[in-house]
Amino acid sequence: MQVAIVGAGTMGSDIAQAVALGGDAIILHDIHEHTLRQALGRVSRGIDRGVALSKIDPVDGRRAKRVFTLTTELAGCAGADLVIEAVPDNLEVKQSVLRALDDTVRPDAILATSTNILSLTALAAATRLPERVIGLHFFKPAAIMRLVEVVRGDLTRPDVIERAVELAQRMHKTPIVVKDAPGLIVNRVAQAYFGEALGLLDEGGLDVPTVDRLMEAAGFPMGPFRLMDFVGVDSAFDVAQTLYEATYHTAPYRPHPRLRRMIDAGLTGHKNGRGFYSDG
Amino acid sequence: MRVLIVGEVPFVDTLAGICRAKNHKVDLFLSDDLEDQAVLDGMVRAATRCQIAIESLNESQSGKLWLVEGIEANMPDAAPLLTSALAASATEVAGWTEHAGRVVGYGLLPPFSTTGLVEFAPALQSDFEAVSTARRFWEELGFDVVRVPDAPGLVRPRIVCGIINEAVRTLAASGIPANSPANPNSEYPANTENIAVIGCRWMRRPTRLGFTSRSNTWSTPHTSTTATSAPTTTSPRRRLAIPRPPFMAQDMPANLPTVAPIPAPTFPCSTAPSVADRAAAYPIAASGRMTALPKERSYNTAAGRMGTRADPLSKPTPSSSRWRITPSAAARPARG
Repeated sequence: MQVAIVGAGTMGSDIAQAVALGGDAIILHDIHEHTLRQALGRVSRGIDRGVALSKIDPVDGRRAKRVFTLTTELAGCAGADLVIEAVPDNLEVKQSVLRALDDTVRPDAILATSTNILSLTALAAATRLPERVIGLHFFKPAAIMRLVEVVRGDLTRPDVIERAVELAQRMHKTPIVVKDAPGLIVNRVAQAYFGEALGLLDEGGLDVPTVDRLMEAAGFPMGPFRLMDFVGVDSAFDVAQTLYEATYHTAPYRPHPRLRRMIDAGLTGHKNGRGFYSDG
Repeated sequence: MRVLIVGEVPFVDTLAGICRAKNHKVDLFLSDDLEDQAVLDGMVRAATRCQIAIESLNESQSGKLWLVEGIEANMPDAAPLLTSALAASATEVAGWTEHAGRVVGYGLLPPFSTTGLVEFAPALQSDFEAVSTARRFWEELGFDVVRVPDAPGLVRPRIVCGIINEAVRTLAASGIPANSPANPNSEYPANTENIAVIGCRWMRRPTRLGFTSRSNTWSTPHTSTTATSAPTTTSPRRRLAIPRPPFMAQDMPANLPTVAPIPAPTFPCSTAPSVADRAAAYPIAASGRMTALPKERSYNTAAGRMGTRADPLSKPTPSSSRWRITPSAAARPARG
């Protein structure tokens, strides 16, 4: 299968690495050539690291590095059997990319979006063939995390879901088919984790490291605040905001004001070195 | 140190094992066994000689009150009472006791071991001596002691409860049948719990976060500790028939049912009688014998004593007797 990935940022390049290791050919697209070069370097380093840790077979690693085609033109994706868009999570941006892809790729090609907060059905509505649009929600870092939420839109055809599931399996992922709903599944459950921890901070007497330490001692790989730094405080806020709006302002999903203040202050987590913790 | 431990399995026997491994003399009583008057009397006797008491009954506040009041009335004055701050804060529990200063809260999330961490929550009334003794006790057991504000549930149970609730809500809204394949030709672990485990790399499924199976509980080879342990009072009945709070679940399905749940029975419930339910239906009288379980009527409390404490006794008597006034047949109210 020829897989095109539109958007060569961190998520796009991580998805590309996993697809390449699954044995499928990749067309990697970005409007900036230097972004494409950076993505290829990231993929190469990721594979090398996997080989060094014996997580990736050296032969598979060498082969995976040779399956990339880079392009800055969307028309370069025309021959793809499945296109995964991994552009920023913005409704207008994603709709315009999907609309352009809808005009570019073959009618039997699958269009996949990597959103985790936008409505798949709303995105699919921007295309002429919404029944071929599907969601593939990967988790950071996408090259490593096993789970993929395969999102079924209201109009998605069953055979489209099956082909997406098969692709995810070739990527050595665990695909879970879920219906299009705000926050899907993982993000909803994670919001409970974040929300209660933030509430505890409000009550006083606790600090961020103590709460993380308590939860990590209970078996969580990351405490809630360390995890928010990892995924991005802004991402956590966006998910909460989307859930809150989509559930008609249901109280448990109300974004915490502290997150808003942190975003305003630029404390968005690892991506800029400062969040609940400071990387420095 | 002689330690009295009273509460629910699997929590208390795990804790007892850890205490024995540190050469403490343990008197262990399971809450369900306290329905038996002889066992209850044994617990009262053990309370009179304990140097520290650990209570872990969280099924309801009324059941907890009944137990705390009973233990505390018989403990030596200098012994601290460590109370599990799940169903009630340590401050609230301290308010039930005559010597509030000795009450110190704690929180453990099973499965736990000596490499684990205990949430340490002194009550507002806790005195310095009790807090110091309690902290030293946990540290000597090998726990990492983290002081947290005293509030029902403390920290970890509150967060875990939130996750469990959201997992259940999400499952209900997701349209995913529990443990069903994503498509007919494949076998994906398609349920909310597994998704959370894989997606978040959580150690356990959300609804199992508070679950410890018997096989997972900490155990010490008893042969290595029996020589230094006091005889331990335990019951052959190891499983409680009573409903459990979320963190003490004995059995829980791996996957949630897809059918609509059966509505919870309304009180009184004949299918799941519990210490707590019956205790809740019965006014707590501090005076009088600590009876195994309140019956439908107050046959065990002397007439005129309901809701009041016994007068101080000038003659030294065993505490268990101090807490006991056996009603005479004449004082017993007639049925009907």
